[in-house]
Amino acid sequence: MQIRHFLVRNFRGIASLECRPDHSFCCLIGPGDSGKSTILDAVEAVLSSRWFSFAEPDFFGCNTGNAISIEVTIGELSRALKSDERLGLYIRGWTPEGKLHDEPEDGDEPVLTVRLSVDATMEPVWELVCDRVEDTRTLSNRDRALFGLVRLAGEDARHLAWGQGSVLSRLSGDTDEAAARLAEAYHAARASAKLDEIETLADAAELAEGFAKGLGAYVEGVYMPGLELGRSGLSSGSIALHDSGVPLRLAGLGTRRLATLAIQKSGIAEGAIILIDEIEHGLEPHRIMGVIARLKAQQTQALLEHKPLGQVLMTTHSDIALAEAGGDCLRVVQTKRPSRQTVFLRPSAPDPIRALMRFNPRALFARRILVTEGYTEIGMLLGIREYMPARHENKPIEQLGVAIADGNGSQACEMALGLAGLGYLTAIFRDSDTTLTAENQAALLAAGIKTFEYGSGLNTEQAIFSAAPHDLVQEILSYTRAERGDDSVDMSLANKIPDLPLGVIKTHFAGWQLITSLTDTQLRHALAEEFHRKKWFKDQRLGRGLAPLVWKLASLNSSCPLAQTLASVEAWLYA
Amino acid sequence: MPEPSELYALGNASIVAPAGHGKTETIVKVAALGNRTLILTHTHAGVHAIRARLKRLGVPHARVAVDTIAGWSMRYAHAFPGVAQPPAGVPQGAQWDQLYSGATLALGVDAVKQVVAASYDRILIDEYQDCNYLQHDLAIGLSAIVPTLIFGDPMQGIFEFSGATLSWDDEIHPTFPFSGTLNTPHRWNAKNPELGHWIAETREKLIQGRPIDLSDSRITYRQSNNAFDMATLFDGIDGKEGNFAAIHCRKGICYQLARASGGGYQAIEEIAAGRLHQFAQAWDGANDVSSRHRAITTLMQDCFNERQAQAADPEDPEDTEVTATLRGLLPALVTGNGAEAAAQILALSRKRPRWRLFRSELWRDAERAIAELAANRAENMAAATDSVRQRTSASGRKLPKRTVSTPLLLKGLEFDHVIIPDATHFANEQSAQAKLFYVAISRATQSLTISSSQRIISFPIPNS
Repeated sequence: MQIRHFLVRNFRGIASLECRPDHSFCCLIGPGDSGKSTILDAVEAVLSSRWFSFAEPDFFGCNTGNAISIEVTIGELSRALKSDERLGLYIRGWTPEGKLHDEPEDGDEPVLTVRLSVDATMEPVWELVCDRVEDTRTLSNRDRALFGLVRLAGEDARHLAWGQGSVLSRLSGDTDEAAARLAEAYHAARASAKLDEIETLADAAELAEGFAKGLGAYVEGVYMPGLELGRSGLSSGSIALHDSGVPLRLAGLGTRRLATLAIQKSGIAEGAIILIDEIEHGLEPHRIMGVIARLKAQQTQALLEHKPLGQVLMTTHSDIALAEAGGDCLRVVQTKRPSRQTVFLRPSAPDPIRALMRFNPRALFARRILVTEGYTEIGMLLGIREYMPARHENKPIEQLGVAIADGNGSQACEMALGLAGLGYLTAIFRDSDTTLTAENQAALLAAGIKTFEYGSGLNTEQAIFSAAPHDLVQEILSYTRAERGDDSVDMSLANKIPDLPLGVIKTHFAGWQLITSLTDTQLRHALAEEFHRKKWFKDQRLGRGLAPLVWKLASLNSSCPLAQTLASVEAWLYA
Repeated sequence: MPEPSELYALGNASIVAPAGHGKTETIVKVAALGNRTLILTHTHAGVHAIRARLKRLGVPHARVAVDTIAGWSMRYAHAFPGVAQPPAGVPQGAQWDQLYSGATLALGVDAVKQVVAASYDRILIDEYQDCNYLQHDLAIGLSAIVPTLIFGDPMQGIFEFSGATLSWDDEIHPTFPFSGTLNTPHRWNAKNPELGHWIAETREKLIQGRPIDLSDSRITYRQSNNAFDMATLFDGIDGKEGNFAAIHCRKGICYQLARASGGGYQAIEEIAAGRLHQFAQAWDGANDVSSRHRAITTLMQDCFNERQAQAADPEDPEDTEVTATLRGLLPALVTGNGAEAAAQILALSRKRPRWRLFRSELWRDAERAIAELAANRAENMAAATDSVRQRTSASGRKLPKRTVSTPLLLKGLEFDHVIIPDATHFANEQSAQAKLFYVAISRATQSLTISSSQRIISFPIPNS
């Protein structure tokens, strides 16, 4: 099963949302409070077989006058759903172009539309939407179970035991024998239960172990059924999975979650819809990558075998998870304020976003992104941002949801456009040695992307050297010598300025003017050219090291283009 | 006899099933092998028979869906009305054609094909000889999606007059290749194997158009010029256990036979229930005592045979009393909707000493319809009769101990004792003479009595 189309009205923080996930693996990101979890809640409410009780806070703005409506159109339908004894006669058609026909036409994919509505009576009603049928078909919890929904939320130990309706009990077939043995066990000692001798339970435990290992859960020994006495007395729910005698319930959070997910998923024969809240919860980076790679590989495998892929909808705040999921899977959730219209955006041109996800995925968790064109500039800005909080009530830009992103050189412009398309407030910081094409300028303007440049064709080196006082130039020279080596720097400069002897170059910059025939401006220009040519600052770390000096320059000479540009950048970052 | 598992494995194929050769049993056993099988047949009676067999063999309800071709087409055509364009409501006349073509069109849509493929893993169609061309198109459409096995008997194709004239060799076998004949005569094996042999031999002769000698020890032959020879109907019945059917192709003659038998043989009603609807129409159009009275009395005349009073007969006090009560009830026919009084009149009519009921199904249906009306469960008599007939078609009908009816109505049923008054009349039918005769004789399980003016009879070679 896969969600083709999704419509939400008046549910919690979402006034309205319409989206098409359009991928079997969707990684939902977005700034906090943008509605990611609400989207998963809505999908669960409409498709899960569980009963949901609704209360006032579930209505948008706590206003029960506006009924909640969650409508989801599902494709990749299982055989059971398509059967005419179930819902087959209510199918609708989804065209290859992503349009909905109430009655399927030739070439359409069969889909079903399910609607959950709740009005002021708080009584939820699940029904199929099918305009050509007069009587509405309401959906029972058994009907809804056919949609194969799995939600991995926080803690759910239910699935690690053989309770009624649990996946483990389904894997076992029947548990009558277990029940009989439990009655005996009640009289005997806990150890004498010998549940591991019951073949069906042991088999299910073995299966569960395989599934759990598949997703990267750590298994200490072997999974076995074991007895756990709870408050409810002795029932099949008292049989729980044990790993080498220790209840799995007590394993680490990550392992527990992975085992739960694996076991739940295995209970659904055809293409489950899997909802995962914060996949990174409780997992080390390599296990985050492992579980995502595994889930994606399972879909690839299903595709090869012409089996249903199902769909994964996961939220994350982990740049590792995001990077592993990849650009195609990225879906950005943004809720506009105050209208609370929620949108679900996908990269229109994934290439530049892929570059961002490779080098700097965490920027995507911000609300406002400054895309920076080169290594020098990104390093410099990252360094300079450390000086800014002092002037803004000690707030770092990150606290305001602002990120500085590496534009991957010439891709900066496309990247900024892509990010603006995903709903981020975006700006570009670049030096002016190459001019933007008219086409790009127009596109940036149209997308409302601000461009920060020094102007007058200045590159960063020129902007620095043209405005720095003598002492500061000397400090920059010293910093460069320390990083690049005295000889290398001095020899290059001596070559660049032929009438300046090496001995003079080793002395303070203030004295150079007396020896060379170049004017002060020409001398500074020559320095900038050589620094640029040798790429001494073209390195994020060196750029960052340069930041204190640039900051000093900006405060000493606040009218120079560099200072002006940095001031407007600062104003945008803190807007 | 092929095993059910072999039949199940055939794919698209046709099986010839002569009467009494365990067709229903075979269909049900093949159906039970699938996860979900669709069985299609033509009549509600057929649906009931198959459901009853499924129940008897303990096949889980969810495993097999049974429907009429019409019912199934209604379901799918109305589920996909854009492509199928079904007629509104219950189809009338040519609208049936529209329904079947519509359902066939729906099967051309990918998504609908997926629904059919997801719903069934085998389709079995019963009584294929009764299919017309449009039903055949539908079957071809289905067989392109799900392996479809058809069962039928060319020799029981007696609906030629209404368009069921498919040629097995030219039109059916190209899609459903002939794959065998059921050859165990279950109907006679336990009760009268000799009779079974005679029917099988006669079947072959009929197919080839050869003459049939009725003088045979395995059946009872009565030389008689007259279909209304009551001795044919009643001789020897006292010693026989079980139920009886007299079979004649003309329904008018069946009613007359029932009347002449004084209710000893009961006539049964067609599915369309024309006479009942005629009564309802007369009743609904009547506003005064005399026209309502007329509606009831004309129905009474069609259902009862009144033995003429002999001059010598003394006055029967019981008759006098019933007649007086009936007369007293007449003014009440316009009290309220009049149904209360009508109900009493119909009930009392059964008690008149010289009156014998011979269309008890019709009379009982009229009583039920009137009761519906009296209880205000129906708007008028027409609605009341509709709901009564619907209930009958949904629950199946119970046949009287002795029935007189046509091959068309008795097709698919079996009787311990069958009587055929005047076998020569089959030759006078417009079409399917040999097939009608075969259907009539093959209803018998224990004894077959045939009266005829000629000992040797013969019919034209039937269409195949």
